[in-house]
Amino acid sequence: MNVGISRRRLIETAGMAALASPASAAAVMPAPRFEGKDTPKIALSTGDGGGGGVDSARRIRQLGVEWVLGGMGQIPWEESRLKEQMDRLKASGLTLGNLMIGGFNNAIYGRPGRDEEIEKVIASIRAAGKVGLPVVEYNWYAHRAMEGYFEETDDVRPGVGWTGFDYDLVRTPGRQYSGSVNAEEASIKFRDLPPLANEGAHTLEEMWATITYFLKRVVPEAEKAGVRLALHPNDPPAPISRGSQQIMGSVEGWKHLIEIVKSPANGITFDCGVTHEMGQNPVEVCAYFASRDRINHVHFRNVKMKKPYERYSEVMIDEGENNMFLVMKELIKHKYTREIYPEHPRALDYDRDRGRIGGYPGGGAYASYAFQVGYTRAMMQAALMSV
Amino acid sequence: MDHPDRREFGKLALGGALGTAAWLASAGRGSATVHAPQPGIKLCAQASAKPSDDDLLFLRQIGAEYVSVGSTPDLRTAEGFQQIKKRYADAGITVWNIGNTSVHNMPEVTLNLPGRDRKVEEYKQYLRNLGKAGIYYTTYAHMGNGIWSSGRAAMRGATAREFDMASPNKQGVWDGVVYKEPLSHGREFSKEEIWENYTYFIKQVAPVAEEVGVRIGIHPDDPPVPVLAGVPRCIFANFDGYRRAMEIANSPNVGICMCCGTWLEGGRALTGKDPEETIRYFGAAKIWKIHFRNVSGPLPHFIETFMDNGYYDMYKIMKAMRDVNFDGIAILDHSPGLAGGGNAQTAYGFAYMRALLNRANAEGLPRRGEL
Repeated sequence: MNVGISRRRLIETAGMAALASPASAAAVMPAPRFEGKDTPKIALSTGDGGGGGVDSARRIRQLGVEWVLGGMGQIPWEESRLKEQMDRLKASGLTLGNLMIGGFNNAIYGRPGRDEEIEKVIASIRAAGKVGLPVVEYNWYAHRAMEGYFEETDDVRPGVGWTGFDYDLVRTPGRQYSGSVNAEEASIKFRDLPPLANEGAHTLEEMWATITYFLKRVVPEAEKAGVRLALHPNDPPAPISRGSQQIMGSVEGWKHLIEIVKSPANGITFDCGVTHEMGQNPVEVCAYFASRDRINHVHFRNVKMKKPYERYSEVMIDEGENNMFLVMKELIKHKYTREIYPEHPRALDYDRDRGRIGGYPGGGAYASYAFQVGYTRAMMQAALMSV
Repeated sequence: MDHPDRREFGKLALGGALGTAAWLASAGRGSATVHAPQPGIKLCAQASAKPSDDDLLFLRQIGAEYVSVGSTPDLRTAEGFQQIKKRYADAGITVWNIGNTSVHNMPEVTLNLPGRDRKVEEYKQYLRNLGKAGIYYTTYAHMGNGIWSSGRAAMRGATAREFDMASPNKQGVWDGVVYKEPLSHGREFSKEEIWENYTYFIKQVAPVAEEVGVRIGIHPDDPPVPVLAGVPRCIFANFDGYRRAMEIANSPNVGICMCCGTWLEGGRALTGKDPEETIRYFGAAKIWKIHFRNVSGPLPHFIETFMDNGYYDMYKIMKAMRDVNFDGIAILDHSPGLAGGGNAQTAYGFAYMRALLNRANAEGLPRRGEL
């Protein structure tokens, strides 16, 4: 054989030199590529790993996720308890980036006692600021439209659980639902369910009045504390939820919210899933809020929508109608650096076989979170390369 | 001629880009059968030859439409392969290839050891069985002393394969046989021998592959160290070796299984071209299967990483595949284990690949027929 010696020798010599290089003797484990100070952080909730604390943390970290979100008990939050929780997570390699705050119904409904609650919220936010928690998330529901949820099955992938929402839902035996209805209500469409005694029926005007009162007091304190607030949309964004209108059930409402107090501390949780449930374009909506620096948290999920506000299915992240890549690109383009939560995994039998799955009908567990995180990470790495 | 001169090389490269180089589009002996796949990149999971109902359900639930499977000795007949194929087909899943560890790496062939001709015959029969079962692709590897590792290393709380040139524990393993330094087969082999043995083998099996309509994709030597335990890894460890091997085979049924992981282990210093460049050069005419994985860094020391945290951007690979109209399979290759179980690991990796593919399709050049 006439082998091209000189050329082959050259390659071989170069190769041997590479092998002998002492500098590269230690293999360095890189962090998830590109994810860092100046990029978004893919996050999971502290319990999404399943199992106990240590196991859950391990399972979360194996997916390359180093940021988490969670909940905290009764307000006011104490600095010591917050610090303890953050330190405990830190010891497992996880950074807490967002805590959900609740327990101020009087403020939501404008009832007596709201000033005391607002003081407790402010105290909690100050404590959050002291321990370096960057984002506090909250909700503003007169009534959450849980009763309209039901378990659906994927139309292509056999047995995959979807979470459906139907404004006209009437319950039939043998299916999985959420929320609770009494015997009388069981045959009534969701849209016609009456208000609950402890909640009442509320107009947009009332709800805007109560949240305005809240924000005018809380946002300046959040600003001082260096904490950003993220208001989650009303999900499902039903036009009427047990007799009440929903201020955060339309993009118009989201836009109004950020005008009430003009501060980056007064922001939203941008949920591209809810955006599509309302028939809106998530890329445009993302651009609107991101360009104003009002996205303080992100929920990254996909949906098939049949009728805006009224009929849709939460589906696997790669089979919905949202172009998740364009959404991700938009976030990167506007230099969003906080958490992205690939939430609401779909039920896979692999997870069903490993124990009861709580949460939404048709919702999934760890393997499904693994799927969502893998998809989201690839989207993010790809978007970081192309923006 | 083994190495084309500069002018010829230029012509080859240009032809490669256009897909018209003689050996790239090699017509073989004129009667070769090639079963052209449907257009488009196919994402593929690795799965068992004897899947349970739960296995099948899981694959369908994550959207896996293709699988690459191994085979147990009892199933290594045309009927056995048909049985595997049918089991998946009944669940709506296509079996792309069925491996056979007994004829994948064959030291007898690579090193011309006693029993070589028996192995060559076994290989031919394997090809015939595949053809008869309607499996039109298989992966071959020319490693004389197995796949080498030096142990396991921690990786995000899981463990992963590690290889360190400096480790005294490094050893090769294939099909249950262990190979160690200093000499795995009692002496040093020359590069010329490895080339001659390859030529002897491929000249015999290529006509059979052409006759039965099976394409053979050759997997790189893992890791692509120039010599391990006396055996040169001179052909399938660098770009020039592959190019020459394709020339020698000169068959439309002999091509490449591009293991990006192995290629990244070598790095450009050893392989001569990175995965993206290699895919763009050989294109869909010669590359039929892609192993999708990443490593911490090039030799002399690497750990297998998740796809997202190795040193290479996996999207470069997916984009190159899309740009060359790759129409074979991309498999989710091995990755570190997860405490949540093997299926959680598959879900993670498969979704990662799906996202890259969706993006590549959205941003890619129009496919054949789309112009």
